Amino acid sequence: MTSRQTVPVIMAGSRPRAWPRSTRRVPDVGHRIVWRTVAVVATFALWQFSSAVLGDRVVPAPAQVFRALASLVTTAEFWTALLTTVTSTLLGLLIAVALGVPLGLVVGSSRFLTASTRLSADFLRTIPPVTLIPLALLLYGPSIAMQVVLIVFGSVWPLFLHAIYAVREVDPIMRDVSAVFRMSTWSRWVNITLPSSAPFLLTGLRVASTIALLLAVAAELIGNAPGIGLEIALTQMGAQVATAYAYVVVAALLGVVLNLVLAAAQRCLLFWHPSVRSVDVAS
Amino acid sequence: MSSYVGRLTLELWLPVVLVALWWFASMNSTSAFFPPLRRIVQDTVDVWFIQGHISSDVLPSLTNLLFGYAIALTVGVALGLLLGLMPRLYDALEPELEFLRAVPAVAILPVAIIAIGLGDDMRITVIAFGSFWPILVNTVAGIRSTDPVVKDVATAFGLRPATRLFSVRLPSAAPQILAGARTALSIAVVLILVSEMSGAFRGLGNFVLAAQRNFAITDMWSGMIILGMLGYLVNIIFRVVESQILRWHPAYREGAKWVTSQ
Amino acid sequence: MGDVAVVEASGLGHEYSTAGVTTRILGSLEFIVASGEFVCIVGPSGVGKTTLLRCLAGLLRPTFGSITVDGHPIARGNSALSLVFQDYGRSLLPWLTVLANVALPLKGTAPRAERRDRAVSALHEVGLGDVLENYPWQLSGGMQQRVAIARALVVEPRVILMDEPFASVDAQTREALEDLVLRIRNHGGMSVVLITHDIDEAIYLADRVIVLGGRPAEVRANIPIPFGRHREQLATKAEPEFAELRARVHQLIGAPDDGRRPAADQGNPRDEGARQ
Ligand SMILES: Nc1ncnc2c1ncn2[C@@H]1O[C@H](COP(=O)(O)OP(=O)(O)O)[C@@H](O)[C@H]1O
Ligand SMILES: [Mg+2]
Repeated sequence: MTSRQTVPVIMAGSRPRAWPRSTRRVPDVGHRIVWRTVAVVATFALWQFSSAVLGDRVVPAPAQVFRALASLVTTAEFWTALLTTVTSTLLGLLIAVALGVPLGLVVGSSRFLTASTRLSADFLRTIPPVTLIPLALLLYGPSIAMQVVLIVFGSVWPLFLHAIYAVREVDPIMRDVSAVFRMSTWSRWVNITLPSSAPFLLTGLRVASTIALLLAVAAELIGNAPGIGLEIALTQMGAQVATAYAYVVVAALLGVVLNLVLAAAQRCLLFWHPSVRSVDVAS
Repeated sequence: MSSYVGRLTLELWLPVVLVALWWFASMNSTSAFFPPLRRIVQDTVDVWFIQGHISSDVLPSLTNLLFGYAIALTVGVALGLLLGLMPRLYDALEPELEFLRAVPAVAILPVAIIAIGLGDDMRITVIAFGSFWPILVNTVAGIRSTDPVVKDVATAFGLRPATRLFSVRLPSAAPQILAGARTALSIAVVLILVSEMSGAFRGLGNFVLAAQRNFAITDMWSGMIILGMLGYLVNIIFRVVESQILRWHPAYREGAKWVTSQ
Repeated sequence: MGDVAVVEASGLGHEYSTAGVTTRILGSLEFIVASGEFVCIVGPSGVGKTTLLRCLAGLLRPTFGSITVDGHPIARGNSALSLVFQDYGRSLLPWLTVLANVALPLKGTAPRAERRDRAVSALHEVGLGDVLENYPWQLSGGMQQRVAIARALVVEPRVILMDEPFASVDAQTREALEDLVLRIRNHGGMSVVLITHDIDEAIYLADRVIVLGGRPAEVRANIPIPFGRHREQLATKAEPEFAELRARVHQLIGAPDDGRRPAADQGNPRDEGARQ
């Protein structure tokens, strides 16, 4: 049964660049600032224009959205909602890491376990996680518990699979090194397996975090768990269109921040990895 | 042949044990939430195949999914090519693109309902929007990472622009484009379900949520089973297409070891 | 050898600038390649051989001077010139079959049937008539380089340029490929410019060896090789003149004459990948 799975291509954006971009491609700093400014202005002009054409009941103008955002940040509901979404996302991620990574490392280090779990894991991970919303609602009602269950179920798979992949890919030379130096099992795990798995695990974490945020919002929107998603739904129903847009902007910012934090973590933890070390290309 | 059987046993024992466990553990279940698996299976056959919910609920879901995803794929790859070949334009637009990409796609659902209403076109739009970003970003990355030697070949032999695009740049980016397309597909599936769970009168998402709200628990379970199988099926179809397109890729060559990744 | 110059370089110079520092790599080179002539360019690693070839191939615009082919300034993708890269593993497209790889340069210039016929006959010429529908990665290194040679032949060029084409194949394969290139030139009558840092290879193949040296690189010597068109690995290399020539070129390059072939330039492919 030669069931091959995905190509080991890791998602763009979740992978640090293999090579620094060649100098020719990156416009110099002055040009970049100018063009990026132009792009921002053009974006807002386009937004303003669509608002004018479609009407502000459909697409509120940028100014309206920012005014709504400005008054939102002075309310307690906003901060409670934001905090709730962030908390449940992180909690769900944390549990998923605690479950998926150790399990994946163990399963990946045994051929028997890898082969045995392959089909089940493959099936379970392809179940669209939102499928569980009705069941989770039945069991936990519209609560953070419901939301966390959903997030864990959705984000545990990339972590589990990347962990398996990581142990399987531990450089064979590294393995020989550990054999030659007669390292203890413990020291082999701490000094060899974990560090060399780290790049894969962090990639898994970035994929997982995107899914986690998506599911957090879905659980709020559909399952009425408290948080930003619920606020978006409520403001939509109350026809406070600009406020709904403002919440969408906040949700996006949350995604951006999550991405940036994980990218920074990747850079800090993987300073030794070739993808992060700055390579002097020109020679 | 015997190694084939061995491999099969190795891969199948756990799923079989798990299903058997569920079957026997739930056999005499009186819990309202966890009906016996036997009843769920019966109900699944009854509801989906005999009463015909396959055509009334599954087909509309799949059609919307297909439309939205096809739009995302076409536009995503086309724009990705363009931006990949115009590094300066991409560089200028990068902050906006990164921002839009970070929007958890379900969050735009209410906004889309305001703007477009509750019809299928809203669902298709939301799916197209949500699954567009991973495709776009991966296409750009794939195009930009074409091996410089390969680019030299194209230049040295003076290939025509169309040849350069379709025989060189696009195939070389294919592994990354497909990685993006895979992520996009799972996002699309989530989006179709969520969009049906909020304010639709048909479709799989609507069916399971309505079943839960009406306390038709066995129906709910049967819907979840259909969903799980559909998810798996969609994934297998994707995998087959992918392995055809990437026949040449080291990971898919004859005898290549299987690898797992997201 | 005809006396008509096909390639003419005059005052050819190149400098790279990285991070504001400009380094002159090629000084001011003057040379010609006559019609049907086999020219080998030798020089130590890093002297600028690849840079020179990239200028000739139109992949790099020289900073100074000019290059003409048949009297016309070179343009990108000029079909009078074609190129065989050192790194066959990367220069053949893995998603195309052998036949499609060879036919690729003809796309958009000839109808489908003609493209196929020409590609098939180019492949026959290099002895690969039986692997048309295989993928390049299913072939051995030597066979892959033959495919690359067929791809260079298919455009019926006036000049074939080769950058250390045999540096990454084993010794036996290398000799077979050397003889193949000689045969192709004798048969097709095109000129060949082949870059190598292997002195024996240069003398064995060339009608004329151009030695590059110094920084910026200059033409140190232009050495005619008097062995005629028909050469044989053992006999030619056993000629007393061969040893003399080898000693002379060694001296010009400044390497000790130990009679051995230098190791393949391993660093090269990766370097090229990182640059560009
Ligand atoms: N793109 C580039 N940018 C800066 N320096 C380069 C570049 N390409 C080559 N060089 C430098 O030019 C010199 C000659 O390189 P090359 O032509 O590859 O030599 P050779 O092929 O003879 O080994 C080397 O010192 C190399 O480091
Ligand atoms: Mg070189």
